[in-house]
Amino acid sequence: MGKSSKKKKRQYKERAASEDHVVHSANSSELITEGNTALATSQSNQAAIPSSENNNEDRISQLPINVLCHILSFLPTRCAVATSILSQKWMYVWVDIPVLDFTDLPSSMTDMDAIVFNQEQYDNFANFMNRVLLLNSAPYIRRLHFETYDGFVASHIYEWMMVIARLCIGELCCFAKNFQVLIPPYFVISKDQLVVLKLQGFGLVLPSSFHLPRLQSFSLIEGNLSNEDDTLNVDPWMHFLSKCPVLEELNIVNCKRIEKLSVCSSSIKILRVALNNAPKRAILIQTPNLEIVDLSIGIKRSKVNDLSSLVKARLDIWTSSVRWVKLLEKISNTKSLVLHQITMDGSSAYMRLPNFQNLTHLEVGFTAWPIWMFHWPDKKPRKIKLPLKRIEYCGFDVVKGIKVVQYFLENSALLKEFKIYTHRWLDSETEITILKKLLKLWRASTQCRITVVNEGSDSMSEDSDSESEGPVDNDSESKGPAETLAAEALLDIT
Amino acid sequence: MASSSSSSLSRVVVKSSDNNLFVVNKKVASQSQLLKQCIDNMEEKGTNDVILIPLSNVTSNILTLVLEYCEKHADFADDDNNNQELKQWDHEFLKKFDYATLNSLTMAADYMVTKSLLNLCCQFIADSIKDLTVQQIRQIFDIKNDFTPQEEADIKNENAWAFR
Repeated sequence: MGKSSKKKKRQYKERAASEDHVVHSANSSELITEGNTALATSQSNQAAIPSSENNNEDRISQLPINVLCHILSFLPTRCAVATSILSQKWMYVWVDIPVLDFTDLPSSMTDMDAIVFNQEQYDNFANFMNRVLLLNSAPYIRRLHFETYDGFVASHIYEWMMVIARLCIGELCCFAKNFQVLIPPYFVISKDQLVVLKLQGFGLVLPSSFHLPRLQSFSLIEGNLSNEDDTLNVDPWMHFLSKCPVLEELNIVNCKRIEKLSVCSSSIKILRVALNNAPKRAILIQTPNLEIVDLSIGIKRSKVNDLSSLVKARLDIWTSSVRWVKLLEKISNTKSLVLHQITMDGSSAYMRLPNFQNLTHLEVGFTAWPIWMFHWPDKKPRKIKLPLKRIEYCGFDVVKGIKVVQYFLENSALLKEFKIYTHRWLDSETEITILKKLLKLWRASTQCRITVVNEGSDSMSEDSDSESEGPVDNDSESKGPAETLAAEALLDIT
Repeated sequence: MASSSSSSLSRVVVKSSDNNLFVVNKKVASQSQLLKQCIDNMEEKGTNDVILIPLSNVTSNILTLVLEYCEKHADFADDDNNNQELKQWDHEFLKKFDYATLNSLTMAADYMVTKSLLNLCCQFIADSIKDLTVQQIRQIFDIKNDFTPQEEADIKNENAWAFR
């Protein structure tokens, strides 16, 4: 295939170029710009707009090749290639399109429940994609995106990657779920134009020397990184990150063979790690400019530097209580905090949460953390001012929940809405009793509306979501609202 | 841009191919890179005269539309919050036109280097042909099929997947 395709490609290219040329020479003579000749030359690659009266060519084909390419780049590649049948002029337009999107597959290939399994269609598609990749002659491909399904075989994917290695690409998204295709070291070497790289189901082998000077976002899903040179004795992730000076976003999802997670980079602003399927790991995070962190991981040892520029944190971790609190201390500058599925083991020492002084958004998920481990803030009414305007309390427990509601009503002078979702369905008698109790509670806010949603909830999940504006006005003696809210969500589990 | 303040004008005059003159606010004109470059170049020279920019390829009908677009976008230039409103406006703006006008507008956007308008037009055309048959596309854009049946069959064969 290689040689004849190349020849064809050249022919296509020449043809496209000569057509292009005709259009251009027609227009540069027409372009007059008074008092600015420099402009005329600088704009001479723009096509003229022909007057429609004395031109019997069809309408859309009058558009210059670069504009036709631009139109096609908004289409799935299959549709773009199909325009070759329109007319002679259109025959080779698709060869130059700078966006290749191969995700447009029929449901008979993507739906694994489909009854008829036809190997031929996967082979046909693989050949089609190879052909388009080989013939593409855009000097720079802005985006290339493909996804594979179970009917494909590893050799299809490997072949594509070999061709892709030779293309100059800005954004590359390759999703090969359930595969583990090894990408050879020279692939990365040739990719110095990459800005975005998303890989699923690939093992990326890193050469000892490479440079990704433009890479801003890297995602590796169900893949792994390894060094070509085993004797290098450097963690492959450390090695990779050291070659990406402007990387801002890093996503690591269910990657293999990570015993120790090491993320050290001064450029990273967004870090998402989800390693759900394995035992606890050691983590090393040194990212002084991190703004968003999202961790789902079991931790056995941790070394994390202060994340002082953090804005958003979402944690779903399982570790010892001591290590957990230590980690919270590192992220205590965050404005938004979401705690999910906190699972802890080990010590049941008296817990003192850090003071989240910038917090404006907090969500707490289901947790096995008992309430007596918390250090409640001083409960003298009106002493603590919480800047919360709206609270949602999910999984309200009849026995212990009233205390939580009371606490927040007494301390939130700005509160406008308090929405309570019951943990399980309440019969009407209990509901009335509860409502009466709630209405008797003293409220710091004069304009707070309390709503009780009586849910027959099966789900054990429980969220407490509260938002407020402005920084927390902390009483020096008291703890921050984060602690309070975290405690709140935990109360009815115990 | 290092332009001497004495010569910076707030308006320019743009001439269409059919010799109609349009007085355009500089901020509006700057939505077109072509016009912006003209203005910048003239200002660099320190001209005090009114800048006249002839566009020999754009008719006044189409130029009116391009300038309508530029005016709207210049209004929103400093305002990120109203993105949604602007998108809505863009969509309504293009919906009004037939394909001939849309083509001319696309060409003018390309010529005047108004990138966002060019993107908008191309996206719009792409969306409108995406689900059409070859015959339908030929029909709405008036494309003459200049292939012999054999040639057509060859092309279909070469890129079979695209025509499945």
